[in-house]
Amino acid sequence: MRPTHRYISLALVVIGLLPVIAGCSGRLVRVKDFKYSPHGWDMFRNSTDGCAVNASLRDVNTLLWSRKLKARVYATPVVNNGLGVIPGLDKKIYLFNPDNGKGIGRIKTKSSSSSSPAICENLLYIASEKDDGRLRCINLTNGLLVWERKLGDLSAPLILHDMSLLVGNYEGEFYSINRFTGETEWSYSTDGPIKGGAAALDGKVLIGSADGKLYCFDSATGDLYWSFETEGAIFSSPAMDATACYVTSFGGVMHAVDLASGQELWSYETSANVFGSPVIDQSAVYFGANDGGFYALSKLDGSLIWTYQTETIISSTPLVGRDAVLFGAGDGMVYVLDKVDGSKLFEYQTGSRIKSSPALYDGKVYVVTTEKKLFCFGSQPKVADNRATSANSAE
Amino acid sequence: MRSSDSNANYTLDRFRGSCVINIMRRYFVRLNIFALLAFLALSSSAAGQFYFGKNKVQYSHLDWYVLRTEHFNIYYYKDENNLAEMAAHSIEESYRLLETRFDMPLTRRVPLIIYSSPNYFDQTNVIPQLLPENVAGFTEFFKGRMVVPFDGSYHEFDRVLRHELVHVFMYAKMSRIARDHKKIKQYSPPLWFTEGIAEYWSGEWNSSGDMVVSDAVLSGRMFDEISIHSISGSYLMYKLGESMLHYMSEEYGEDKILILFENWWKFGSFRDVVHYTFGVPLKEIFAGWQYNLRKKYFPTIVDTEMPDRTADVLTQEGFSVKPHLVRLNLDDESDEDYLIYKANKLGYSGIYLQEMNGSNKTRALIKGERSPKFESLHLLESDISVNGRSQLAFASRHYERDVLYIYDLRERRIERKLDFEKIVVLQSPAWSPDGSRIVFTGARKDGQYDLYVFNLAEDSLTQLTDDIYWDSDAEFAPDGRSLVFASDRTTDGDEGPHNLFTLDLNSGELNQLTWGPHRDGTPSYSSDGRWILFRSTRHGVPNMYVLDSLGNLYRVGSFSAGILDPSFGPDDDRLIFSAYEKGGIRAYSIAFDDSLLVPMENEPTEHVAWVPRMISGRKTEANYSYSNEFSFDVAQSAVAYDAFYGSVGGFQVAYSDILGNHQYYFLLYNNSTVRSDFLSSFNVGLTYINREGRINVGGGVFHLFDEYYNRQDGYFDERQFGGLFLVSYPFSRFRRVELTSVFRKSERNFFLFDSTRHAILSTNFISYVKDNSLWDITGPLDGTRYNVTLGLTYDIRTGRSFAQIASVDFRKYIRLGRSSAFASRIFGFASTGEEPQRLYLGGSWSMRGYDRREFYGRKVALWSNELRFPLIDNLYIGFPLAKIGFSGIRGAIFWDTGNAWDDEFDRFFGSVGFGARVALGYMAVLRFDLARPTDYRKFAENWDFDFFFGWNF
Repeated sequence: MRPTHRYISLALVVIGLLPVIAGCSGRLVRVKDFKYSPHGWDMFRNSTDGCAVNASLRDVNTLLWSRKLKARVYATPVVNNGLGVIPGLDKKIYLFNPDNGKGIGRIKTKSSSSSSPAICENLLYIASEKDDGRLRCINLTNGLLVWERKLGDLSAPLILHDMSLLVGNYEGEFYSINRFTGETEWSYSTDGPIKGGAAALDGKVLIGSADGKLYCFDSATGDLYWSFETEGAIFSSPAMDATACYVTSFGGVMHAVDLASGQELWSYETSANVFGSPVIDQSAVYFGANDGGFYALSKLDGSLIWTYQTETIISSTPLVGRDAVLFGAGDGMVYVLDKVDGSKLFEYQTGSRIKSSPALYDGKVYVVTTEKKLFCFGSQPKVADNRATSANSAE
Repeated sequence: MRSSDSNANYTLDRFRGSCVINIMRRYFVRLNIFALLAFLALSSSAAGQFYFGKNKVQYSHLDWYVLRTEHFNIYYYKDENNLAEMAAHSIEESYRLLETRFDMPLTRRVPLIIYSSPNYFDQTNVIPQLLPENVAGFTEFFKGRMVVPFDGSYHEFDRVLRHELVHVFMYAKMSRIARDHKKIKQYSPPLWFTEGIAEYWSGEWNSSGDMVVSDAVLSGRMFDEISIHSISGSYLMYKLGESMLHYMSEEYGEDKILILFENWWKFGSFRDVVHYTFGVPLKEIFAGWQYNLRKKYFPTIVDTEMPDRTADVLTQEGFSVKPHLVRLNLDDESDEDYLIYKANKLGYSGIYLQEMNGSNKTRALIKGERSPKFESLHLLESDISVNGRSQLAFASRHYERDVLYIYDLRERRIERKLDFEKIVVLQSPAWSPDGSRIVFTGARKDGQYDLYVFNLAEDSLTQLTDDIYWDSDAEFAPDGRSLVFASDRTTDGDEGPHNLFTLDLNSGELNQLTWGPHRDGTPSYSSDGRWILFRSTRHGVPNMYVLDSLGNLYRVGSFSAGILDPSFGPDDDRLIFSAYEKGGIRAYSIAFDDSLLVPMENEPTEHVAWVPRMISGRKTEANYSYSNEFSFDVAQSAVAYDAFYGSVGGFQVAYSDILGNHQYYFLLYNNSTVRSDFLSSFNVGLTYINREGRINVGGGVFHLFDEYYNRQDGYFDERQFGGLFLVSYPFSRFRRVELTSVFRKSERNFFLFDSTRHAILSTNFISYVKDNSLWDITGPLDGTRYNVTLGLTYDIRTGRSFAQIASVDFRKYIRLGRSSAFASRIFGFASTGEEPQRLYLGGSWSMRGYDRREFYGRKVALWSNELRFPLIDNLYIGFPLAKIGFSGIRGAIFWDTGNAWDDEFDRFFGSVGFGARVALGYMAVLRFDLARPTDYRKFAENWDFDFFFGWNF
């Protein structure tokens, strides 16, 4: 072999080995200087119980920026201290800078991901769908895979609860996973796909299944307390407070169920299927339906407090703040409604369907559309207020 | 849209590409290669008009407008303004419903093209295929266009609109899911599922579904996931699909149907995605569905009767509808009873007269669908009527409109043709008792269906009703003073119900006879006026009922099969009806007496008039006159080379407007082999075709350069550039004349002789074409078609004649049975001139048993005879992994004779053989032939085996 050929061969071998070398390192992604903030938007609805956030949304009235994404997205982003995470349907998890939406890295998976991720401390949890079907825990500070579990076809949101990660799969298995080791703490088999996330509070865990039942477990042991059967499949995540839980079914009915007995307290029927999950505050439960209506019901008796009718389907989960609710609709509109009477405070046309739930971090609302766009909304600069003040002064 | 014979006819014709087209192709290659490319490769619509094929005739110029709503662009013509507003309301309502069911909005505005009657719908240029009469609407997927006609019923219109919109949503959903997950490989669901879900989500399960599905169950014709393909495209398949979707939803949950689409990207086949989504194999779902159907329908025969067990069967073959038992004196001797009915015995529909003296001798009175005179007899939609003067009244499509014919049964001739200018659709004529008047349902251009009466003596037409309601099946009372008819002017009539009404012809007073959410129809008086016999769905499948003169209602017997078109016999002692049984419709007779009558409730209810719902002004975004909106149909690239035909393919683009009236075809490819030839080797062509009017015109320009070979000249290259002009004028659906002119400069370099030939040529063809053939899945089975073409090519500068061409291609198909026929083809071709045209002959496309280029000459004679017969109806092969089924395997025994020569005719050669044809869906036929050549002195020692894809000649 001539020397030239030898060098070329050597170079080819090295190039060929590069992926192997990289693979041996096990590093998926590394976010320099990432420091976990306890005030981040860490998972779907950013709460284990589906309660409203203690933040004002009334001033969300302007688009701060928008950014084109490289993949279509079904999941809700998570945002925490300089890091945003969006799972793509193109077998990649995208990391972005929440200040401007610019990409800062990506994690390749073996299948698409429509499951909303979760982030806690320096650990990022992501799940992938059927072809790969794995739940992964990644240490963001060193980029190494902490653990991974093959759990089947995962599309439900990942919910953090104490030391556990709660997730269900398409095959109907519901798992409580130790989030540090990846070991199964307990599991339960339902008779239908699980596409919604869990809710947990005060030692109880709730999960809905497409078999039409809402299950209530002991969060420590997985013992089944009760199950409540609805008239249709459950694709959404329940919400719960200390005494009751609230769940929507495919059949378009919102059910309130007594947490202790599993008996129905009241129900409210919409005129179409419901895919979005409810969010609750102290007095009301909020959700959107495919009949185009956004509903605020009294937690007490299910009576309608107000409704806002759109011209399209609402299958995403709302963001509920102290004073306003924000949600995206099928026609691409983002609405901000007054929480008291449902009057419209702000609307914005994104141009394509909004299927995922919004995320809130540092006063900014992140909305992802199905047509590969990330929008960031926030408060209008105070210039207008100054002008108004000046005008008043002049008067 | 589903395929059917005539649909397949056109489509198959386009792809037939075989025998004669390829024989002819040789001379077209020289004379007019771009015309061929434009017409055969690019223009499917024009291709259908080429050589053979029936015509889609644009009889009327329609003035188009666009109504823009929130999600749709509705294209309508001026006369159907109200219909457009109704369609707008209906389709937006459906959109809201389906958006929630599919959990997905549509991202773009959907074009919806509506026609006020099936007769205009038939002329649509949105797709090139001829539309079978039973097509209620279709969705075209290149541009996502929905095309729907109005047929009188707002309920059906609404249902069809929603049906088509389900298709739009379904494909948008599947496409969306695949794109979201970056899946390029797509697969389609089976047709039973596609149509089943469209039926399921477009309305309630109805009595029509019960009629065909219960018949399938009770007659033991159950289908599994494989065998259901054997009825693909049939109405039975639609309703079985709908029934299956009902079962899947009820058994496994409605949500599973949505999840099925969400899971689409995860698998590579429908079977797998169903298994994953429903948790059980498709085979088991079918088994459960069959069991469910048996449980549902088997008990119904406990209290009902099968018509063929209790009634006299009067007809046997095919679909026999609208039967009437009449007493006539046709031979001036004595009154005889005759059964007169419409039937589709072996493909064509016709009107038949059957003797009832025991001989059952039947003769065809009217043969429909073979000539413009009786272009369509509207087999199922329109009744016939006979009066005491032996006159038969019936409606038929004649060119664009329906006309009323009066046929003298004694003289056996058309006595009178009544063509009403303002009436587009004419249905169910019925004689007055004295034979002086005829009442019928007529529809105007605006789509309004009303009752009309024509007085023959006064030659006057009177419109009896004039409103938005659909009035049908009118019949005179025996005293001639009033009419009974069916109408949707009843309460909730826009949701499907029809009830019976009477109309006093003197006072104009309307009186409702039946009530309730049922489909009452086809009323008929007894001769003494005591009874009104009619068909109703008030107990599920349609059955017979009578009203007495006091308004009391009785059920007449109880049949498990659907009863259609009941009427009294001449003495009122027998009832004549047709029934849907064992997949066919036959005529029956049963004695009528009081023992058959079961009293029923017929309580009047409050009549609430309904009005069509129009779209509100708020949702109408714009309303403007249509100007051509162009978009791409197809853009593709492919290149192939054939030494005989040169390079074909390249970059091809088809571009047309929404209505399909204006079409552009662009072709670009380069066949240079060395860099220096690159610029000079571009092949480019642009053709425009205008199909807006009755005369189809087109034109184009081209530049072609390629290498060719033929036996006479060897290898040569030829550069051609110039323009072409095309005209096609259809006389009717069946006949047309075509003109093609090509002007081009031709530069030919012969490699063998190292010589060149430069000329400026004009090539002109004129062709006369007839085609009324009927097809089954492997080729024509009935009818006639021929093409007579004359051609002349001359040098424009010198006037020298390069080639004169004459060709005749005549094909006759004589039907011998449902799927068997004798087919004969005679083809003759001759060419003279300085560069006479020569054809190849031989091979599977022409002379079987010989090589494809065995014979070559400027004169060609070919005579092919073939006996076509069914071999195997359904063949299932159990492969290790899956069962594969083939339906409709046909056999053939053939004899070919022919030769090609220049000056001296030697002798005829021939071949005999046999073969099989396997239909691969509706898009291709695989033919196997074993032929033994002969020179008519002796046979060759060996059999020649050949196979190819192509339809029978």
